[in-house]
Amino acid sequence: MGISKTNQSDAIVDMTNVCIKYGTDPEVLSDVKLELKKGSFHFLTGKSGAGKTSLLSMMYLALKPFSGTVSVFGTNIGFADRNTMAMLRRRIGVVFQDFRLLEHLSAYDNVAVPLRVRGMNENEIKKRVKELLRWVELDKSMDKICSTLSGGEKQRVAIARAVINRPDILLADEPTGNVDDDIAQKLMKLFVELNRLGTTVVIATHSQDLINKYNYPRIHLENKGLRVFPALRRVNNEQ
Amino acid sequence: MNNKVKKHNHSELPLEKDGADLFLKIISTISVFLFTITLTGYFMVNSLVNNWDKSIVDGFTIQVMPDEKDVTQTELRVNKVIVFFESLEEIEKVRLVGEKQIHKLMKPWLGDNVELSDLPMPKLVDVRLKKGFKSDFSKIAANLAEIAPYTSVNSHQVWLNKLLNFAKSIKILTCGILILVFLSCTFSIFYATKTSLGIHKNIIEILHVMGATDDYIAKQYARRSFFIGLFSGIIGVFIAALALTFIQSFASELKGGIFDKASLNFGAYISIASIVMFNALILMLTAYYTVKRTLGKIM
Ligand SMILES: Nc1ncnc2c1ncn2[C@@H]1O[C@H](COP(=O)(O)OP(=O)(O)OP(=O)(O)O)[C@@H](O)[C@H]1O
Ligand SMILES: [Mg+2]
Repeated sequence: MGISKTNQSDAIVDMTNVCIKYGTDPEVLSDVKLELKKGSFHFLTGKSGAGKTSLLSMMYLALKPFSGTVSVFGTNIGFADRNTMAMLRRRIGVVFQDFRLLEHLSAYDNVAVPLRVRGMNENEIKKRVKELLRWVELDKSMDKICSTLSGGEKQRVAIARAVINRPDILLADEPTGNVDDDIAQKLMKLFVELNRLGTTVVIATHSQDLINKYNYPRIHLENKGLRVFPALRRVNNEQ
Repeated sequence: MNNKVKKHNHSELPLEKDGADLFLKIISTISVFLFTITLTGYFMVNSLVNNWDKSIVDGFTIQVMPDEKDVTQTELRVNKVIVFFESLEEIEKVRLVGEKQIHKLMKPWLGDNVELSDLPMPKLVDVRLKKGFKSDFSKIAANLAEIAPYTSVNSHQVWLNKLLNFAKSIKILTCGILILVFLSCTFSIFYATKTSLGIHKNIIEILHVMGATDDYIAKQYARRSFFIGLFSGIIGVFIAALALTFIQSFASELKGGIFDKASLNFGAYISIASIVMFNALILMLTAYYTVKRTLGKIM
């Protein structure tokens, strides 16, 4: 604790005494403390309704804590102005549980959104988006309007959109729930690869398989509280 | 493949598909129509007033009754009037209207064959005032009547003044209407934009999570609103032009009336054309600031 000052720069996300509460409902999480170091990889588990999505949405700055402080990239989000928040969000990749794609746009345009909001030029966007769509095996469907895509295709579009800009932190809510095993494998490989390149990763999942297979520490939500379980074995996850 | 990518619609917000969009088009067209009609009315009245003002300020005409027996007496009377006016400092020029000109003036009434010199025609003295001089007209008239009782002053001053006041209140009225149209249009844009923000709440939330600034979203609204303004502005002005042509064809049947003097000069045409641009800019700016303001209040 005494050296927390020097560790501060390592912390991508730092929460202290955080309560999450919707309206007058009872608290979802109370007095939570969590620190995510740069380059770490965590699974996020807990029963349905435990607050996984709520915790993640606080990390991607869509939800303010009812009380307590949340710092992301060293910035206390309680005091950040709207432009600062936008700049912080550009360093965060998000895969929503329900995808939340822009249904009226093509797969290509959906993946391009994070680049366009940064004002990147269209040629560069084209190069990057096409390459990534090819990688997630969606190059044939890239001109299809999203509302016509299958669940698994949508999920891959959502993931491509989250990683297109090489985020500093990737927050994925059930990212492998709707895809075949071999595509799930491939997507996990993508996350592991991004992590190896320095991205901090948090993956919310119900899949015990995934947790067993990839041995990473686990954040577990239960009874409005949070516990971090360390990785069981020290193995090389890249195999 | 390359071409396909270029054709993609870049706007993340499907603004053209929400109900607020149609509302905005209709409101903006009606506003431009009303604005154009009213502004044209304003310019018409304005040009009338200017013409009347000029004829009042410029001068007036004095009729000198001829002495029926003695022509030299008549000339003396005229000279007396001219000398009287030359002594006044606000007078620019005094001049006896020549026979030829009188002839020309009388022709429509008397025909070609009448020898004017045979008739006891009154002599006309044309008086021009200096520019910018507000002379006390009734005082001049009274003084003149004292030294030259055989004169009468031709002036439309009194009824012209009444008409002038009437026209000025119409001008104020049209200004009021212009302001009201402008305000109601602006408020409509404000509420239409707010409604649209509500409709697209989900998309805006997603864009925010993707790192979009409020400015990025506001610019999409601004761009869309600008084109709505341009498009509906052109339609509004076009409908107004049709309506005005219709009215004008009516007015031209009232030939010879004072309304002949109501015309539109080049500046007026420019102003009316610029309503379209003005409308587009108002829509754009109102939408932009409405979005910035509304989003600034949420997380
Ligand atoms: N926007 C909201 N308004 C009100 N209550 C909410 C809202 N979002 C979540 N909740 C409530 O907060 C609690 C936690 O929800 P959350 O979505 O975070 O759970 P979760 O762990 O992600 O569940 P799941 O595994 O089913 O996705 C639930 O009781 C839920 O009803
Ligand atoms: Mg959830």
